[in-house]
Amino acid sequence: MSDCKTTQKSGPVTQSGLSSISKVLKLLLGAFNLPQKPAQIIPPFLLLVGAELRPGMSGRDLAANVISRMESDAGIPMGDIFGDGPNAISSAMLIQAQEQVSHIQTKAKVTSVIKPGSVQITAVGGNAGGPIVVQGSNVSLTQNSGILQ
Amino acid sequence: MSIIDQKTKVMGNIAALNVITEGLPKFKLTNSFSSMTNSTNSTDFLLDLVQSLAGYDELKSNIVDIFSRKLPEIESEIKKTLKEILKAYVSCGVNPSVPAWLQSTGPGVTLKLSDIDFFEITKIDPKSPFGFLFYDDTQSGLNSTYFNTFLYSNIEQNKGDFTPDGGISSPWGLSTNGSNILDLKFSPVSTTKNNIIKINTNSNYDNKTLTEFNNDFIDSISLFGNQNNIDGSKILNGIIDNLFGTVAKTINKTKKQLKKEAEINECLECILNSDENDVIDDNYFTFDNAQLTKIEIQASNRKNGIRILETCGNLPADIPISILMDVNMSLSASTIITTGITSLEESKSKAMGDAIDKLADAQASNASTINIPTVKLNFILELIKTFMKAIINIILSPKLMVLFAVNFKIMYGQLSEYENGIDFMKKNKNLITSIAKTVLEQNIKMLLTLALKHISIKLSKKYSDDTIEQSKNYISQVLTLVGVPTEIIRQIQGLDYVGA
Repeated sequence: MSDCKTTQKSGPVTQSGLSSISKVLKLLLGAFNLPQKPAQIIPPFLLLVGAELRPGMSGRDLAANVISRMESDAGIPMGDIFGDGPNAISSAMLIQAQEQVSHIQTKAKVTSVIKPGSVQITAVGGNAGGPIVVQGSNVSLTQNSGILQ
Repeated sequence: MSIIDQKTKVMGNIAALNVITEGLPKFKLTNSFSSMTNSTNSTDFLLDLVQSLAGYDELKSNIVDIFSRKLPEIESEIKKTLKEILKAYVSCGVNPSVPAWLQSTGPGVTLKLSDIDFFEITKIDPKSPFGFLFYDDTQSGLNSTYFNTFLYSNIEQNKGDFTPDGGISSPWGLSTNGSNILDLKFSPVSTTKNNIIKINTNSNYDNKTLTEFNNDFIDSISLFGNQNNIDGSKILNGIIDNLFGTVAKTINKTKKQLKKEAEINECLECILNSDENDVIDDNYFTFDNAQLTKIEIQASNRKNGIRILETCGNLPADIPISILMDVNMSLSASTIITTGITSLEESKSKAMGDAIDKLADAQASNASTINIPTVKLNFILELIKTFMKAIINIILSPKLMVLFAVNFKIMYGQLSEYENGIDFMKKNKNLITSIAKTVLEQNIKMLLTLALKHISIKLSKKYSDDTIEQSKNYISQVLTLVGVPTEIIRQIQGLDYVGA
């Protein structure tokens, strides 16, 4: 009989362990971890030509867009109310946008990398034996720096 | 990451999904949910989560689905667990055959009726006006397919025999399993105690193993009524009586009895709220002052047939017995196909939906118009919470307590005893915990499925919107590179640009 009492104290029979909050939370959080598709690559030639046409970032334009949509889309009054002076939220948006753009323009650094074999070269030369055509490519990873404007 | 951080992350992800997929936040602040603590209670957290995602109608249809369709599946899971636990009980050093003293010619197991009837079910006559609320197959007496009706019939048959250990044994099993499994006899008087139940295995089991006896007995029992046509009324009545004391008040249960029931339910609540890794020790079966106060209040409220709605200024709510009986009549009628109904399933679902609406309306009748939607939603949440306790109460009713008591005697010795329901639970912690966790898992599975269904809908909308956004962004970026004006690009992106 005493043998049985040991079994009696053993853990309960459970089917899936769902009675544990940790497993429930793990299941729920797992639902949000679906992978996203990578963005499409923009054709390099188009980038080379078109990048020159970009106007660059503007804190004022950014603030104007945000303030406009906050009023029209979210219904938040962004104009001056009851003659209390400038709308504080609008001012805050402007400051925030200008500071963010300024920070990006003055502090951000762009690092790009050139894959080995992606820069192809063809060189023509000559020696006593006649003309020589040399073909080659970059063999190591190459890093470049840039800024955001 | 701590439990509260993980809970906050789940709620935060959903709040973000709501904004992304529906525009503006509709979500309550996460800190307004009572479950947003380090508590390990999965049910409370999932209920908070689900009520943020689904409204009254969807929660109701989920409950309807469970009561009208899923009970056979739940019953099957519970029976599987019971067989596993009882097999573990008898396969550890004890002779697995039916002990000689339990066999048809032995002295058998002798118990007080109160040892197997913690909820005083046998004080209600199955044939009385309220009998059908808790019994099934109420008119068949000793041939009933419902064990509690069979038990009551034996009590009724023998209650006038005052010879010590008198009365006639009745066999159980033929009506449901095709052959008899045990013999049971109620004696109002015995040499040492009164109101005694004597149990022997039927002679069919003299040469069978204890596991065969246990399994066959479990298979012979229906938890929620007629196994082939469950209407969900028994579980619904159990929940309503647990919450509002509708039947307790009507049959005039004593305050002492209601306190005993509240104590059992308090223990069950603690076990249901425990985490998987918690050790269920003896502390789970004792009460501190706060619990004693809660037990006292619950017993008083049930005695008065009311429930205090704390979310509605401590408003007393009740469900009159007449409404509960009407609802039961409708549920019972739904098990027969009538004109205009395409299937039995549809008939039962519709009746259960109507029943829940009627009960929700009745208990909200004292609330002010503005509070009615909240009171009705809370009613549905309470149905889900109390569902687990109501199932375990059914398992701890005589129909299975007879079997548990027999196994208890085999485990601890023929003369061993337990004082009351709490003592039984304490001495059978593993059994009770396993039952509780099985029931809890069924409930969590249901809530989790509902929550994940809503999260999936939102996520699929988000991912479909993401793909559209990615394409728009790609096109916009390409267009900026070929000199298309910003205003046109913003229109393509769906941004209502009005700025300079």
